[in-house]
Amino acid sequence: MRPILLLVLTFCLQSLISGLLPGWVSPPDLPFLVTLAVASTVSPYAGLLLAFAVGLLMDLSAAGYPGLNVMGYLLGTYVFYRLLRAFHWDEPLGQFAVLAGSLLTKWLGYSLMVYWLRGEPFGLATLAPVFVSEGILTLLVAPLFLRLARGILGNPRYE
Amino acid sequence: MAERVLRRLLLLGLMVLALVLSSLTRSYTPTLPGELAARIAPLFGWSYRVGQNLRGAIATVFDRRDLRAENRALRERAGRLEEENLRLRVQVRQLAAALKVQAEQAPQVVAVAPVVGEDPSGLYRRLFLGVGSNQGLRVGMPVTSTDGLVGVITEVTPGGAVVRTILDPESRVGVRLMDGPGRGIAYGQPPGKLRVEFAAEAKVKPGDWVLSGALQGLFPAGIRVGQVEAVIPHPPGALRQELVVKPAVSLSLLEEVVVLRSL
Repeated sequence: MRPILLLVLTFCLQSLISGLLPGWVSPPDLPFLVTLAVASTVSPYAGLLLAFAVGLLMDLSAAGYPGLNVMGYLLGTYVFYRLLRAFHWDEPLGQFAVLAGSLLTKWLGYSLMVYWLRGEPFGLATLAPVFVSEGILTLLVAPLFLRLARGILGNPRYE
Repeated sequence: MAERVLRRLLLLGLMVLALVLSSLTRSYTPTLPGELAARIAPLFGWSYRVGQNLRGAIATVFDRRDLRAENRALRERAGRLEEENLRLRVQVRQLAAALKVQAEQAPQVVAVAPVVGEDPSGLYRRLFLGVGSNQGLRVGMPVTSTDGLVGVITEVTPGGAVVRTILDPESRVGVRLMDGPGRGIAYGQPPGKLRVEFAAEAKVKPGDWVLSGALQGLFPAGIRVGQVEAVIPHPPGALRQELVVKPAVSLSLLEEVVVLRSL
């Protein structure tokens, strides 16, 4: 029940921040953060399924083809589990490394899906402004947001 | 080992599912995402509008701060323009007066006379001119300069003339105020001031200009005499008020004067 509550809260917060920020700034990817926050409390199987579901919800709410966010979230979450073995999730630097790696992989997933659908890769001019803005803002709000998520979800159980 | 393979298989399966989903949607139901989004959007649309309103509120606060700064700058500018306007109005009035004086004086100019000396005693304030009756100068002719009234010729020789300046203790000049009603008499008060008597009702303040008023018919009207420096307080019931006036002309610096025809 708590993860669902957190998801609903996150989508509301994401919409709020999207409205709050000016049009030229890409908002932080809070649904991805909440996916990782929930994933850190469940097994990789459940985590990957969750990533698929949240990605699909993101695609549908954005009127995009179902798959773009799904692919990004899937790969990002998978790498998240891999990086959890190398870095400590509770340490600030470790958390930063895990998040940065997961975000990069998420964008790799986007690129894969765009290549699949369009037959050509993302142009750098398209990618850079969104990626930089979203990446920086996501990493900035992550400590606060993950603390909030942990407050709602409780301590991570999956190690 | 088996778990890792299983995990990878799950990832691969989900990835393939995503690829298939996107391809199928694109090929067969391209409008479906839009329709679904239209149904989901209202669920979170309110928080988006809250965010937009918040941004609008913040922008309004900043705009208001900008407006305040702009308002302050405009007020300062308006103040400067008002000051300039006031100065120009005074200048226009002065120029108009000068033009009037020039129009009155120009046809009456007899000579432009060099100042060759002044009364050395200091008791009288008189000037000596380097031209006299040979150049048409006569007793009673008013003497002015570009700055204002100088005095009147009291003695003439063939090659020289004596001017009793307005600062001379024997000098009496009919005067009036530039900016208001009131007539008076200016008495010379050596070494460098004039004492002017006006009716007690006249509204005078320091800084007002005093002009010649042709009371006794000696001087053309409207020539600058001096500027009020102080208004001496008069007792209640007094019929006259006294002013201390600084002459418009600096007599000791005069090099030339204009002699006008007698009125």
